[in-house]
Amino acid sequence: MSTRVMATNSLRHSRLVAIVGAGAPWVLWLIGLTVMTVAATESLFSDSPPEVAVIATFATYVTAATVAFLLAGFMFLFALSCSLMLSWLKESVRPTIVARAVCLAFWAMAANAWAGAVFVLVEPPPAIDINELLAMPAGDSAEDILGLPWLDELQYVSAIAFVVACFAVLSKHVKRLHALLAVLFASATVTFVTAAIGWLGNTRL
Amino acid sequence: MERNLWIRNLSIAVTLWTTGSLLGFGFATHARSNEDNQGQPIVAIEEAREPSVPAASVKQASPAGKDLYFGILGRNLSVYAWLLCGLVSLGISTVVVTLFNGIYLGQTLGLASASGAEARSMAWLLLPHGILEVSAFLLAAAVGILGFRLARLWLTNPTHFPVAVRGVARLWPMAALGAAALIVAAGIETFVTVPLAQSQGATP
Repeated sequence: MSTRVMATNSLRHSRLVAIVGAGAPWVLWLIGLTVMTVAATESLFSDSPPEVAVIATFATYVTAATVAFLLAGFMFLFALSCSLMLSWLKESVRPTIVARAVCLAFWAMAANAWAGAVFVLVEPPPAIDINELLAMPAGDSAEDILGLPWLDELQYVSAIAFVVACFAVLSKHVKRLHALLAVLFASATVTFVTAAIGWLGNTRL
Repeated sequence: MERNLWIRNLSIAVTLWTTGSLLGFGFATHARSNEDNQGQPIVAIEEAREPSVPAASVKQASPAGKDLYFGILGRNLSVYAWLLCGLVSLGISTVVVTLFNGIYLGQTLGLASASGAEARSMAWLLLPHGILEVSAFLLAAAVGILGFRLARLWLTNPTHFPVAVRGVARLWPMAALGAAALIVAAGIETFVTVPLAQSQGATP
């Protein structure tokens, strides 16, 4: 085998490893989230009449999928904001490095999803009455609606772990202070955008 | 944005929305037919309402038209913002929200039609504001879908990325037009659709 072919194969192999390495946390996160959603939904509507449970389950799955994909989408906003801040700080870092850092830090979200799945399987949420659910005020948090008292705390911990992991990976390529500023700016941007849209939807302007 | 790209993105948006609507409609009618076989009522059907009307507002619709108007407008503008957020979220938020909106509308229509609502009265309840509302949402979706293209450019050709961003920024009049359409649609929904629904004895 010629040196050129070997070099090409090696490059292909390293690319494949990089893609798999970056994609693995997303796949695991999706599986963990599916397990958690299915287990929680089955338990929530276990006492409802089957015909009500069918519609409620469908609505819950659609909502869960929407929220999950929105989270995945906003990871891109996070990466974009990081990259923007780094370019303002005159760091010549390639976007692929930032994207890879976000993908690697996504292990925190995968761990969050699996921890949630384990919690739900160990202690399933109490069954809920559909009329009670419909009567709940629109501002109630998912924690209150689903009856999972640990949900918010788990999300905070995983969000912090995600930001710290992202900082750790980025600081290998750029100055530590710049990496810190980039992840803080990105966190602020994502929080601002999601909070602003949420505020718009929940208030009367 | 070039004409072909507009057509392509609008087609994607319409396809997603229609697919969602069909899914929601199919599921609701299927669930209702199962219920008919078992002879038990579905509580959720009685709660079915037009997607963009906030529940709290409907309950106090008649005395506070202004509250209802701003409630509807806020909800619609937030959906509009989620759709436009596709630009910074790889297009994911656009795809997901378009599909979700379609499913929700389809489900509501399915439940209403299965409950015996006439197609004509449903059309009267949806079309006056729906034409403007859905057009604005589809327009925003067509813009939001550009996010995937932008992301690819950002990763593969970062030097051309700012040029592409400036190109997208030039679409602001279109985005403003969509928001203006939603302002008018919320007015129609509050002052035409809701009174019409109340006169027909249905909760929109």
